[in-house]
Amino acid sequence: MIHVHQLSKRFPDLRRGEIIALDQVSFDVSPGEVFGLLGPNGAGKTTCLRLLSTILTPSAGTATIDGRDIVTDPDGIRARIGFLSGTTGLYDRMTARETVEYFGRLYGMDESALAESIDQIFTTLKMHDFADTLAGRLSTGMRQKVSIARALVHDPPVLIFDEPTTGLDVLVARAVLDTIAALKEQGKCIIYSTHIMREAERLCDRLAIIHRGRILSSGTQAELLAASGHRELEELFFDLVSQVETETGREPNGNPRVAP
Amino acid sequence: MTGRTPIDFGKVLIVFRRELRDQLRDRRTLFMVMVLPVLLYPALGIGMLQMAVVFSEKPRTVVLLGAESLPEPQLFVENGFAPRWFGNQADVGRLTVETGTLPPADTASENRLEAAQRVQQLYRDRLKILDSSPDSSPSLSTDLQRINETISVTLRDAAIDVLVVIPPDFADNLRKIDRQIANRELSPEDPSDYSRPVILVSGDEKSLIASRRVQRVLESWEQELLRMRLEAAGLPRSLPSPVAATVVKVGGDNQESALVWSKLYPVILVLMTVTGAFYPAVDLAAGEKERGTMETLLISPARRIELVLAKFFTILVFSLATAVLNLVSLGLTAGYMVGLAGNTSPASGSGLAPPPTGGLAWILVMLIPLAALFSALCLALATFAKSTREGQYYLTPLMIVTSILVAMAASPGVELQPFHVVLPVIGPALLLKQLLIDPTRTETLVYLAPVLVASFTYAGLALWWAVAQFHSEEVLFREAERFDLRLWLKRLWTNKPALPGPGGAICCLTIALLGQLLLMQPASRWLASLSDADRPGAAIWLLIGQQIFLILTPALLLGAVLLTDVRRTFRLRTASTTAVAVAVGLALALHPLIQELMQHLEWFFPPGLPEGSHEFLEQLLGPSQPAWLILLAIAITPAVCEEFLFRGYVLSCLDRPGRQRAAIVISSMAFGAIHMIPQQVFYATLLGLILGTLALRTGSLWPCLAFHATFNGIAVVRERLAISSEIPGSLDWILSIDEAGSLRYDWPLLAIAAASLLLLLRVVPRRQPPA
Repeated sequence: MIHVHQLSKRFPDLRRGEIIALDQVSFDVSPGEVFGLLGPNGAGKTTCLRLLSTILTPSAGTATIDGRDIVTDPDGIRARIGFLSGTTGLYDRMTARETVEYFGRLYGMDESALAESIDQIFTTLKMHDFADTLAGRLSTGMRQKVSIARALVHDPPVLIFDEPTTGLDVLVARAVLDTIAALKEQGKCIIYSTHIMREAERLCDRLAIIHRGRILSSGTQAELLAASGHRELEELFFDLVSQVETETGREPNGNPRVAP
Repeated sequence: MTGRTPIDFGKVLIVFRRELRDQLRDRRTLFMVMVLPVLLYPALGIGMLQMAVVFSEKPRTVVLLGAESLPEPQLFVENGFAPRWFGNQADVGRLTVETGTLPPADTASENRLEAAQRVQQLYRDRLKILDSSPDSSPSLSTDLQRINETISVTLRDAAIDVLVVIPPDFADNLRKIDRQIANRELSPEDPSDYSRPVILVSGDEKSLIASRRVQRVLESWEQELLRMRLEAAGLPRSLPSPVAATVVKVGGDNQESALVWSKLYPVILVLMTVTGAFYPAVDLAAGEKERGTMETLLISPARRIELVLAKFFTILVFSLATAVLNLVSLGLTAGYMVGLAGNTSPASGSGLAPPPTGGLAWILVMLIPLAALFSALCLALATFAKSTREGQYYLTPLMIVTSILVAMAASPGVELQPFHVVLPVIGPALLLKQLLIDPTRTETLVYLAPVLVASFTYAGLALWWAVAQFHSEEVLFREAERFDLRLWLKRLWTNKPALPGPGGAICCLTIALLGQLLLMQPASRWLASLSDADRPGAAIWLLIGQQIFLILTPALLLGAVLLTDVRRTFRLRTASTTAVAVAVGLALALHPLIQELMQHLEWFFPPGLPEGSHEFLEQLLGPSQPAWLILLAIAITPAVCEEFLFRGYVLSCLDRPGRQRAAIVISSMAFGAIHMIPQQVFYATLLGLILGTLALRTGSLWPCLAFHATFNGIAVVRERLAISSEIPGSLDWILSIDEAGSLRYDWPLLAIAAASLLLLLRVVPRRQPPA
């Protein structure tokens, strides 16, 4: 369903010249599968997902979603994905229902299908209580529910989640994870990016550990652990990141190494 | 590709409706755009009424000494000048007169009289000093200054605004002369040799205003004295005014009102369309980025052009609504206020009539292109901004530029000319100004279509810019990067790109434009200081130097220091002989066409060159200078300098795969812009299109150099030949001389030129792509 091949993205940067935010990344995701992108902040996760959602255009490489190319058919791609990130905001001066209706209409849904879809999603996410409140008056958790509803309204076959639990309390974060697990059961093809090990362990069928724009290792959890000899994902993660940092002459936390 | 899918106006409508509703729910925008104008003008009106009360003028004190020597008719009554001497009756109460003939009313007035007498004495001293030493010695001027200061201080301390001193024998002298005239016994010496009244006034503003009023009173009193003198001499009273033309205003009140509206409305209209567009634009673009909803919107199925259009239409609605509300509110308030003023002073006529209905309809017509232009422009600016705060910063420069443009259009006496049509803002503002005066005049109406076309073109360009902004990742996802001058300079040095960026190009163009402007005055002053014989030679060398230093040097320096691929930037690839020959042929073919085109378009441009510069140019290019020098200055140097900058640096900066046409057009416009004089701007832009095409097709600068030098060279030769020309019989079917004495190309030649041009453009050799 999702096929990513040698995808790269470079940005001009005043301080460091050109930065390579994504360096020849390749992976595939099938329907009914949650693929995790696990990496520290600034690893290139968001850039990768923005490329897949056609907000950015790649510097090199290709990617197709449902057989459509992200460069030649971005409109077709956007109609087939639901995208949610920690930074996708909501319009403060619109109610939850208006927001979801607005995006549903943009996806070309007819009014009866839209009403049905909204009713179903609002029931699942328990949103009826605040359906007609302006988004500006909602709590962070409620807002994230509205965002999820916004991403799901057109029932897309592919879902892209970029750190969707950022800033949420435990209860709401759990609800979000449950929702994603349910979506997987429905056969959706899901990419999930996070820097939180526990979420990755719980949710993802397969994982790619990404750092400094490159995929360091990928496979199912069991495969990753078996290949490295580590018992926990966190140790494996720290080990891989440290290796890269040592090669580039940095401490594992990313700071330049101080000579002894 | 997405570029070919048609725009889905259904999606545009969905987004438009959301944006409109969102803006209507925003109290701040609503207030700025809708409520403020509706309340502002009435509030200002009330304010003005109150101001009139608060700031009403205090009466100024005039002390008049020697009132007993005043002749008839009576100049003052009790404590003021007689009302009959005032042109404006409102001024009567603004001057009080103290004369000393009545006992002083209070101690202040008593002090004033005493001070006045002291000043009178000081004034006599001043006269004595002036009489005693006719030469202006240093001691005299210090003495005078001292006395002047004492007088000024005395007047101010005693609160005397104006002191009028009538000489003691004034009435007697006048009577004597009256008698002489009546008896026709005029002596040969001038009868006016007697001492006159003196008006003394300190330098401050209120005293000066008062003294002007006093002077006007004395003038009308003087007129009456003169008439009485004539009457006594048995002569007609009308003797001193043999002309006294009558002014007849046949326009009526409506036309005068139209004149007022025609000045006011275009200004308000332009400024309010900007204001109405700006705030929603900042909220719809920069605000969207700031709140993180831009990303949400970009992943929706609506394409970016659809988003831009929807936002544009929303801003347009607000811009239109603000302008209309402002105009209505202003019109009603002004009408009401003038009505009030009219009621209180019946002399001032019936007040301000509303603008004619036809004029109002034209306001609505001209509103649309203006609002469209500003909406698109504001949207592009606001998209560029990364936060609403940064967006607000762009309002000031936009307002300043707009105000300057509209002020040019509103200045009295400026009338719509063909050239104005192509100027943004000025064109529509001038057209509206004239349509408000006379909504049906044919001479004005012929401009309507061109102005609308030009305005919509500009709006379209601005919209295209906004769409481009929406496609730029750098603009949409601009991080809040801290700017550090040292880092930036270091990076310029260590991280040199192969080809120039827009920064360098803008830098070069700024130097070329500003340099020319700044040099203009000192250069003309320097040339004026030279002798007539030296001047043409100096001017030629100045021209050469200016091009080398302002146009060539910056481009070469920036290229050599900051870029790695100088050869590619300036297209220093060898060109085939064919390419150079084709370029020369193109120049030969284009010359007669451009020449005739410019002759036929002469009516369109403002009379460009200032008085005298034409003779100067003739002198410069005339036979007094050696031909090689003129060719160097007019053909070779510009070809080298301008080609290196425009077809080298600037074009390399713009030339990106898939954007070659835009690169040619934009570089041509820049090339036109530095020529300053409208005619030259026009044809330089045309030439730029051909030169840009040559550069990109052949991949080399040399054909461009050949074209440019040939084209300018022919112009020089033509100028030389024109001085001593007689068409040989064998050529008279293609050449002729018109009444003005200039060489003209006839149709057969033009046809041949056009055909060759088209043919040559087809055979320009294309550069082989590098293997």
